[in-house]
Amino acid sequence: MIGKAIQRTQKTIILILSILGAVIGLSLLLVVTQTYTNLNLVKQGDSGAINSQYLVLKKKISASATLGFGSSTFNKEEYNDIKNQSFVKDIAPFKSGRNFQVFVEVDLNTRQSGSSLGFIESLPDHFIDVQAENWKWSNGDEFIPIIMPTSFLDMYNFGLAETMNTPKISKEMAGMLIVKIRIRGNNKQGIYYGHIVEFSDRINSALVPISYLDYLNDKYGSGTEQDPGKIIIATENTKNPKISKYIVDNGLETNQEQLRGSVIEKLIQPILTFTGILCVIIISLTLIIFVLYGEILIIKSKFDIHVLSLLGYRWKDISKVFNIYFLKIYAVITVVSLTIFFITQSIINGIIKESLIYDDLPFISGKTLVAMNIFLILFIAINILNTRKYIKQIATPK
Amino acid sequence: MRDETFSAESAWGNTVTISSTDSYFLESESGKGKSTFSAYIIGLRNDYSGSITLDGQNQKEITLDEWSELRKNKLAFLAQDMRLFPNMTVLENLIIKNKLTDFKTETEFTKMLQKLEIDHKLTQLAGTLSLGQQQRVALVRALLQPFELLLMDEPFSHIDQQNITRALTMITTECSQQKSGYILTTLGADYGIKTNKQIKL
Repeated sequence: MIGKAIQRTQKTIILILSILGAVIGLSLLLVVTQTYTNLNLVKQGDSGAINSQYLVLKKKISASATLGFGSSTFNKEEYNDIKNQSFVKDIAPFKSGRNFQVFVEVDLNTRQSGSSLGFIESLPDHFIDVQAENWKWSNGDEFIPIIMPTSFLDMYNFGLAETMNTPKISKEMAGMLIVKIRIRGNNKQGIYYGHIVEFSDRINSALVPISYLDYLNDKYGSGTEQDPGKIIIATENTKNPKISKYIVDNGLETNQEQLRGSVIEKLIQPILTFTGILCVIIISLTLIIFVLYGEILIIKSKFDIHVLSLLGYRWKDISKVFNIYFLKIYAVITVVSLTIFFITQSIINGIIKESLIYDDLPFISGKTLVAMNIFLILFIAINILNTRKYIKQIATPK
Repeated sequence: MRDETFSAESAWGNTVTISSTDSYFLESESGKGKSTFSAYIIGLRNDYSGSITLDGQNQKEITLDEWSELRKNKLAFLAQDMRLFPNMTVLENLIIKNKLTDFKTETEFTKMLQKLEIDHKLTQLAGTLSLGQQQRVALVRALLQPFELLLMDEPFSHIDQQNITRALTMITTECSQQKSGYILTTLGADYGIKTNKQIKL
């Protein structure tokens, strides 16, 4: 009954504009938060098997090294010098095959297959971020777990697949492929089969368990063990300026620039940050508009509120009517915003999946839900407090 | 009103005790504070010096919730400007008051409207009624609650004598049933009623 007296005083156009502002603000907030979360996942998950706090160091290939002057490997002194740096928490050399040939063949579909001369390396198990049961090999095992460089997938998807007009492969699909490995060395050859268990863009060769590489070196290898051409270091902060200085001073390089994480960090995240700031501005303005709308509604209903109070209605019960009305508006805003969010997010996830080859993206994360709840709680709380304040003022003896 | 001058018998500046079992006639000229007097008793204003107590409680210390209870169950009020909801019908205006206590049935208050010859306006918007019709509806509304004191601020300024007589009969009957009193303010007319006491301003 109280609602009847109030509803007749509100202007529909102001209400629609207020709702529109709130829908834009909330939808943008949800999309920005979720996209930010998803891109962080891609950035962190990029390393796949190798944590983002690990850096792979190698020497820059100079002309003199090619001509036999200078070395492209790390000798013992160089290795120890890196090990002793303050930014190095842990260090290990990439172990490689000793003078045997590796041919890798993959069946891409029933009519196509790809093969190439490849090379394999390994790292100590504690640098590999794959579940222990998936990263082990002993002689006699049917399949060898393999970590492939992401560039392998990119090369196929953005090179071969487009040229040959064949479907692109996702990381999950690649995991189902059987990799045929032919080893030839020391007057012996052998055929082995492997599964791709993870991808990483911190490597440019296939990684296998150290037990498998030791086995291959024993059986097919010859010559002595060489100095490592690549080293992996664990560090607390890959952006530590001491690292970049050491790299420059010692003629080293990492493949950090090729990381998807770098692209995301340098290009996409600043855009998202800017959009996020815009979002905060829109939400702030929308909040002000809604507060003003609520105040206008109450001021226009001042006579009715006063009479209700005079008749014996408690000011809190009068406030409740307004607050229920506002809650219905917020319910509409939430439903419309979530609908826009789900549609937009499915498009964005599709783009990320397509361009960054990353499948496992959540539709809505905990952070997005928290952001939405903070938005709603803020709006509702401010409106409720404001409503109560003004209605109490009207009901209070002058 | 601070700048106004009042007679020695005026309630302003003196002590007045109002009992809920008596009926009072408050007559004074325009601008002497009849509506202000009502506003203080019903709790619409507290901008006065001195002291007003209701059932021993200081008027300025009564909380908003307590005022709601007083207006619902003890103090009935008929404002000089009626204060009906103009966008609601006569029936809705009565229901919104009656709903608070369910004091009367719809049949009962429709009969009250009938006695005042206003029952045919039940479904009409209150804002479209004449002032006299609004006053009669406002009077019925004021009686749709239990009360110990009925406060009426110039309730008959737009009503003809015949309806005044009917209204007064309704008021005195209701007060008698509830063992309550009333205060009736007027510019000068006494409407032929006999009240126990008089208040001067």
